[in-house]
Amino acid sequence: MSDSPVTPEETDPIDPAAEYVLGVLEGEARDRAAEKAVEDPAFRARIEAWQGRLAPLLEDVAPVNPPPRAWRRIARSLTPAAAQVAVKPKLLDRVEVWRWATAGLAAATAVLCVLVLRTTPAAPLASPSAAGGSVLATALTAPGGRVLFVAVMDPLRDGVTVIPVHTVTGAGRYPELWIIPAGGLPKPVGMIKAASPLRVSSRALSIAEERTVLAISLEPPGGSPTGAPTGPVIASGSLARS
Amino acid sequence: MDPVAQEEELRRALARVARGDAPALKAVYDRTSAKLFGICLRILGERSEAEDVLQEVYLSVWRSSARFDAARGSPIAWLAAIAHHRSIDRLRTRGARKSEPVDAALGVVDGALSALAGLEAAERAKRLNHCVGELDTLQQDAIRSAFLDGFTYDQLALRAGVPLGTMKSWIRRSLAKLKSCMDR
Repeated sequence: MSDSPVTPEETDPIDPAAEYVLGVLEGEARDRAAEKAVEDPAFRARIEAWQGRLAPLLEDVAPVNPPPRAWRRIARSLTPAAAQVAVKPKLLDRVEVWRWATAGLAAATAVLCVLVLRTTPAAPLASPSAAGGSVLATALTAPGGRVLFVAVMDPLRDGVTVIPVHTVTGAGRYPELWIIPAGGLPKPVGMIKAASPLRVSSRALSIAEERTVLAISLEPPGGSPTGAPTGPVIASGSLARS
Repeated sequence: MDPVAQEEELRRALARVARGDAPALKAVYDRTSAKLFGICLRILGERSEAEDVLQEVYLSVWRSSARFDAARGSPIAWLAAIAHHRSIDRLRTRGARKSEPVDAALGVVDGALSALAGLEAAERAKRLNHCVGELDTLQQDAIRSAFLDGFTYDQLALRAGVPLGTMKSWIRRSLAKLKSCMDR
């Protein structure tokens, strides 16, 4: 190093974009670069340029077949995404879908079938048989067995579409959706307007899996003031693959 | 199939993925997952973590593949860069380096892209190899270890038995030389 003549590029301060792509940064330095990549388009462009320069080094890495379960996991997480992409805008206009439903679990199942069937032509892989996945959903029933809402999870577990089957009224109280992990306390997901299908997004939904319970309680406008249900639980259901 | 046709097919599949076509994602996966899994495994050295990251990579492609700019370059190089980036992220979050050696390749699916494909990619690879070859041996090794094994500055310095400042200056000079050589 000392015996080579100093050239201008050696004295230039190095662009952190280069170090970021090479991977040598850690801790705060890497975090800073990651933030800058989001905020600064010029920095991002330099990152992309460096990725282009260094990518050929990856030629040397030997390919290794991932196990078959790797694709199954991916397919499970994205199957309903095809459904969502294709159907979401229409779903919200489709108020009549939930009006068709009358009462009982059969009706709720019918709603789900309509949703799934409507989805299929636009997104062939959305059918459970094609990709080994299915929609995580539940009918939320009142203690007497009457279906009040149908809830369909978004595939990435960051949102849920709630379709009211019956209008719920309570004196100055409104339905609030909760998620209850096995052995855990209810976490608030969001308020539900009684009149139309509604997508509620919440990080709380990331814990959703089969058999996780969704419940609805009646709460003051704006939701439970305590973070735990304060009003009566009017409906609940356990998520299942449909 | 020749690499150029393979790359073209991959571009078309990615365009379909961007329109929400899930079977197209499977087509992309079939052609690229062995290469990407190899990269994740090389950096992370641990199968279950490599599988996690592989899943992240394809889900990120599923959600944002519209961002693949077909004019910008080779799609497999783009995917490889995502796999590399996410593996390093995972490694840094974990805070420790892999401990186990990685198994050798276990046979690859037919039709999989093992090279980064495409004439332009081949040209770039040739160029990079030439430019890396112009560095001193120790610096070549540091650049490769950083990029392919996920070593930090500290780890590289320890491994080469040089002070941290020396390693930083080797890497920074090497990057500057690579840039000027490759952009020439």
